[in-house]
Amino acid sequence: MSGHFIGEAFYYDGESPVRRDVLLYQLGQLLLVTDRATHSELFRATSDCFQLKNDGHGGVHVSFSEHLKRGEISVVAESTRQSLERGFGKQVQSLEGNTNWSYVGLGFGAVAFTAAVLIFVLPLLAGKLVGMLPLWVEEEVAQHVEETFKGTSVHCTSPLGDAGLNRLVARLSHDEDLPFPLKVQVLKSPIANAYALPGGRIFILSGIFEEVKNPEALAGVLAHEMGHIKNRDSMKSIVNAAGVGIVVSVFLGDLTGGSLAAVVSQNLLNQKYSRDIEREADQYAINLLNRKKIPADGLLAFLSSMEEDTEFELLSSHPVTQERLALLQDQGIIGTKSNRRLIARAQWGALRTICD
Amino acid sequence: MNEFCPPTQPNGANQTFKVEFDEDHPVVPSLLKWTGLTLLTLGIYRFWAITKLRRFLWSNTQFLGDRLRYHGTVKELFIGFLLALAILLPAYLAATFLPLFGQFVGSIGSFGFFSVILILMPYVSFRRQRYLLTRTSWRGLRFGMESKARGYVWRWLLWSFGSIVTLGILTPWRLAALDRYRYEACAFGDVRCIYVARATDYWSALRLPLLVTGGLVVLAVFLSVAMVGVTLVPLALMAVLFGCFFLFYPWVQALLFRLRMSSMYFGAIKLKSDFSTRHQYAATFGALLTVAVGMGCVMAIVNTYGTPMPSPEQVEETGGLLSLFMLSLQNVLPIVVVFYAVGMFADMYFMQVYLLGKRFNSIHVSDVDFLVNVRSVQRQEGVAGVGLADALDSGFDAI
Repeated sequence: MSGHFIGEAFYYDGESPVRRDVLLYQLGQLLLVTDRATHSELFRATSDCFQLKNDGHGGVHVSFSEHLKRGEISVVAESTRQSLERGFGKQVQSLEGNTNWSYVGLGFGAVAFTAAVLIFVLPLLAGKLVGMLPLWVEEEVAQHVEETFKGTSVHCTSPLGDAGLNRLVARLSHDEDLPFPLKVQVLKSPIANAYALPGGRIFILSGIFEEVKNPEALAGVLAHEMGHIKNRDSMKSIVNAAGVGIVVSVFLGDLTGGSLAAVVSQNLLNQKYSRDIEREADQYAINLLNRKKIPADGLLAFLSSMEEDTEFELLSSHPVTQERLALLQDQGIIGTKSNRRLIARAQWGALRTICD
Repeated sequence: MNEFCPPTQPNGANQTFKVEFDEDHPVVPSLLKWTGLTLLTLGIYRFWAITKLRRFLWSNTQFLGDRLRYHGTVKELFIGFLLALAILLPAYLAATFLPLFGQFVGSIGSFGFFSVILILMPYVSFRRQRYLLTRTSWRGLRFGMESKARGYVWRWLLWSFGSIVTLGILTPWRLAALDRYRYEACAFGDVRCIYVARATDYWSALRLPLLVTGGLVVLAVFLSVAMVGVTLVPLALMAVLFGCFFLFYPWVQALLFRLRMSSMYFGAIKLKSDFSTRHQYAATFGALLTVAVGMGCVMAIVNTYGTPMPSPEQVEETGGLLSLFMLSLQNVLPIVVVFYAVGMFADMYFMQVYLLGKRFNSIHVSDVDFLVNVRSVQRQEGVAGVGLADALDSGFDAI
């Protein structure tokens, strides 16, 4: 056998699971494979027809171009591996599946892009999407959300208190072009807050009656929530949250699990709106109060009291800022008495104690 | 054929050879690195992690001095994942949003989602096995799987329905029929597997856990009637059945693995496994314990140092959706992320490296002379199965 001896190896012909001991020789740019026992040549391959691949255990696989149907050679000995590398000037390739960092970078870019979409595009999209959503769809959603939101809370009701609340709501919503008829309920809770949900639902948590001193202040709070109803903000935030949840689940590969459900339900209970959305609702509230000739003093006092009370501020989903107070003082009717009582004194008394 | 290794001996027909998995190879640093990179890349690295892990598991396994080779690629996994998205996302969206439109519509959505999952489960587990086998070679020859996945799906659906209707009495027949279809589809080169276990074999393999469960059920009914009255019976039954399921599940898995391996022939080649039940217990409870301890630590840290909600100032400063995003980042994601990470590590270490190592090491093969008769065949498998399976996390069944 002519040629330069490289070393010993195992040969698998790819046709049957039989291992043959072979000797490898180099002849110029030719690799000669000979049977170790008989010293007969099995085949030869040019340098461009085979590759060296790391076997993960210090050796290499010599794999031949597919069309040659030559099977593969396994080289275990370090010296043989080095002779192959040097003799044919070949690099040992890593096995398929090694990290290609450009792909990881690409994936990372995709994540960053999606995050940007989530933060900047989704709110716009949600606004448009909700605008196209037929009202009956939101009504269907609202019925379900209402049940979820109420959960085991006590819905407070009394004939006189309800009459007062209904009168207040009727006065506020009269001639107002709202997408839904208002459905306002009082829930028993120590927290001073109010929520606008899809489908014209407004929930007043009874803790708020500790803070609002007169019907005008309550009207102010309701007017703000009506602003959210007018703009369908709650529905937009649900669509938003679902979008966030879906993207998060997709990235985690959690396609059957509950991260989406977790994000959506989390959002339902902790509805928070951006400063812009709150400002819009404030603006709507002031305009409404002005149209109805309701003084904004009560709302101002209520917001100021919440401003002082940091504990309430933490619990509140309507964090008060000086900016909002300034807006009220600037544009609202301040310092004038209402020309007539919003609701009867007895009704107001019954409403304030409706959950007691 | 010219030569055969190892050299054939006069009594070669009776000689058995062990499959050898190198359990001493240090793997924990790699697993930690892969888990960490998966978290850092928000899950993208997992395709590499899975591929690298499989390549490690395969190449660490030897038979007759030759290692298994894994030929699957990251690209294939990723394409499979995209296919999984295309199928699952619509079903998922339907199941999420339809309940918002009322109970009836919601139940239609849930039914649709349930049906999709029900059909996908057997399909995916079959296709995963097929993908893994077609991506595995030994001595330059590929394994493969011949039968169609849809044949497995309808058998699975029918037998599962039958088992439920008969309160589980048909289960051994179900196992026998499904395993037979699944394993007789397997091939090495051109040699198909012959699977010989029958329902009676399943009965006798599982008789001990069944007897113990039955005994405990009788005891529970007797004791609850004697001490409290009939009212306690349903509760006692539930407790016993649930407890038995939880405690005996690894036992049954080990019994089934031994039965399955010992019932397989490739031509004249016979497999046998002496897999130890305690290794299955160690793997299952090791993984459960790791996840429990990991979650406990996270809960403790969140309770002590966590801010449950962003402060109103933060919400004001960052604006609406960002604040919502922050909210889910702060409240939901840490738990989900740690659960994912600990779960991934525990699955890789206990259920794959440890369990697969012990299982591989338990396999003895006799009559290997038959190997000279095996010839290669050309086959290639699509990539849908394994991506779907990984997305659905339907468990790791290499064999």
